[in-house]
Amino acid sequence: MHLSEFLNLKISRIITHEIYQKKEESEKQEPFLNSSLTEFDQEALPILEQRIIDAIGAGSKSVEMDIANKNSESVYDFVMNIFGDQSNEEVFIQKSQKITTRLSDSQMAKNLPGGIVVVIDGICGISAIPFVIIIKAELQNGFRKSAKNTIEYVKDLLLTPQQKLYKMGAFIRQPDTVKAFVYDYNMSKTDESGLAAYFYDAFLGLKMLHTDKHYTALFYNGTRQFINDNSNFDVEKKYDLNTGLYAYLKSDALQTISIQDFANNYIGDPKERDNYSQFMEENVFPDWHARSINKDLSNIKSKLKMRKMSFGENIRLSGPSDIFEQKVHILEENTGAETGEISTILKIDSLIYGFEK
Amino acid sequence: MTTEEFCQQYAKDKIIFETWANYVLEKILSQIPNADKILKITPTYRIKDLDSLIAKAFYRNKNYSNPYDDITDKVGMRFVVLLEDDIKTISNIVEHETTWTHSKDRDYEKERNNEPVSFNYQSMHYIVRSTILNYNGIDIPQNIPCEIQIRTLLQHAYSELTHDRVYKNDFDPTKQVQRIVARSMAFLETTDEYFQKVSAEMDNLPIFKLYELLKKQFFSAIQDDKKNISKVNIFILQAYSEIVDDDFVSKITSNIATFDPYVQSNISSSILNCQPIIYFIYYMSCKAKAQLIHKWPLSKEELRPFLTQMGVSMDDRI
Repeated sequence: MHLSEFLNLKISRIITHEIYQKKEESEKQEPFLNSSLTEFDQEALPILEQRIIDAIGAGSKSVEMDIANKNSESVYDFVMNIFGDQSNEEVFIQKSQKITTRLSDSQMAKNLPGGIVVVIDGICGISAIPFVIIIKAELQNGFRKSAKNTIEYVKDLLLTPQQKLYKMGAFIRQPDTVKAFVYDYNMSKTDESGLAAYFYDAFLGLKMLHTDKHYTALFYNGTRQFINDNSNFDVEKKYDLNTGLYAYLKSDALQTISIQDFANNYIGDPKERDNYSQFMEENVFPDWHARSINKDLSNIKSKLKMRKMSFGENIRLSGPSDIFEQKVHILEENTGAETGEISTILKIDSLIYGFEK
Repeated sequence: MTTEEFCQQYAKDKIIFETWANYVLEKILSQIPNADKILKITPTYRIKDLDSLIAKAFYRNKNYSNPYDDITDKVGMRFVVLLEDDIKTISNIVEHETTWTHSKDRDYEKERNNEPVSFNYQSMHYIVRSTILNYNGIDIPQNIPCEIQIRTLLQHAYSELTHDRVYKNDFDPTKQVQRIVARSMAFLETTDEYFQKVSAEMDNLPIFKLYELLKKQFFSAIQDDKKNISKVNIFILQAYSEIVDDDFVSKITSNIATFDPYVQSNISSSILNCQPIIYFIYYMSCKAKAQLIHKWPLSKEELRPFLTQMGVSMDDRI
């Protein structure tokens, strides 16, 4: 059975620093650096763990990434220092300061907000492997109840359930490798993906997985297989789901795709959603934890191509191009030259499964 | 042996009989699983009082050649249970104990086979005889008998009726009374069979099997069988009864031990963390999150901590 890498996450140390929005492009802004650990009380700690898991746990919108920058003074390097000397509090504090400074320096554009940088370490997973998590949490405003009948305005809330307002990078040290994960709301949306690059690339030194196009193809083929082999779906449902899958992958707005996301948006029944997740985990992605995939269609381009046949009066017939070629035959075209009647006779080797009104 | 000799011997041996009976009772009780649930009447041993012993030995036409040794129920005890299966549980304990030898005095199942058309007194009777031992400072010689009766509540009810009302004064009941008594025994035997069926049907429900599995795993993981089991377990499981079938039970059975270390390490995190249902919640978090969330009968925020413990995102944030 698959268990999440972040199972049984136990936080050992937390430190917080602050970075500021730049007033001018590329201006140097010194962060505020703490030199002692931050206390979280017994009530706050479980909530922080929930925020972390909701963002980067199994089934979250996070993505796994490759580590590109392993130079000295890279975030990877700092993280390795922390892994290497876990009992040393001074190392943890110093490296967290360096990480924060690096994030501040990576935020070149002046539209990027400042925020609290939280650096956390601890252990997680089946064999209690070490992790380091870096959160950039933007400050929010809101109201809070103070006295009995008074509402107070506050502008320094952080880590509320609003996931749009924080980004997270996580490193875990497995026996033979270090894995990196990123949660950033901006990464999932194509038109905001530019806003994400400074965080995962310039700051964390990560790049898209080289396996993304492979994973995208597996996702497409596996999902199709699940839909078409599922005896609980009637032909109409299969037609709907296949159309949904096509639309989901072709959507220009989505930069990342995931099993969870597709299930939530296209497969209504919770039981089938679970069947789908299980099918994909057992048959399609045996060592991969139901995260998001950076969509890369290059391996399945031809499969997603559509052939369209247009007639007068805005009538259209369309289908996947490989299928279209096999199953749609033009038998006769009457241009009306002889009888005055215009018509086309088509033969389609299939039945009508769906009819949109 | 004269009546007088009999009395003297008995007065002398009484402490041995009592000690022996006490030993037998404790020995059996300590091996009955869930004794407080299975036993419907608290068992005690009783020692036959002298008058009825003498009546039995000398005046009741029993023709004992050696009345003192031949009367095997000088001490005895009775276990009254709900189901015939529970009788088997206790019989097994009696038959497998190595500190005594046993003989079956009455076996109602055998009697049913031998006399299929007769409906009469039914009970399981054993005579266990001591091997040499010392208990509570008293030496118990070999071969001291003790009678053990095991019966269901309904068999017990029959026995009470006939003992108190029908055979009390050694008057022979009329044929008409005998007929009614036999009919009631037939009725009770039928009911006992239905009781057993009810229990078997319950045991066979997938949701019940699942609950038993969760409890078993939980108690073995926490090594504490005194833990209080809250009603919340049933309340939560009930919400998922639709999805729990035999296939589900067999799947969770083969995976359940995976969660032992996490159950142990989070045992004090919340109320549900120290209840058997935690295994179900963990399993569902990893295997069937959508259904877990969809059918969860409490608030969503009460579920989130367990998904977090499993490293699984609830993925419901804006």
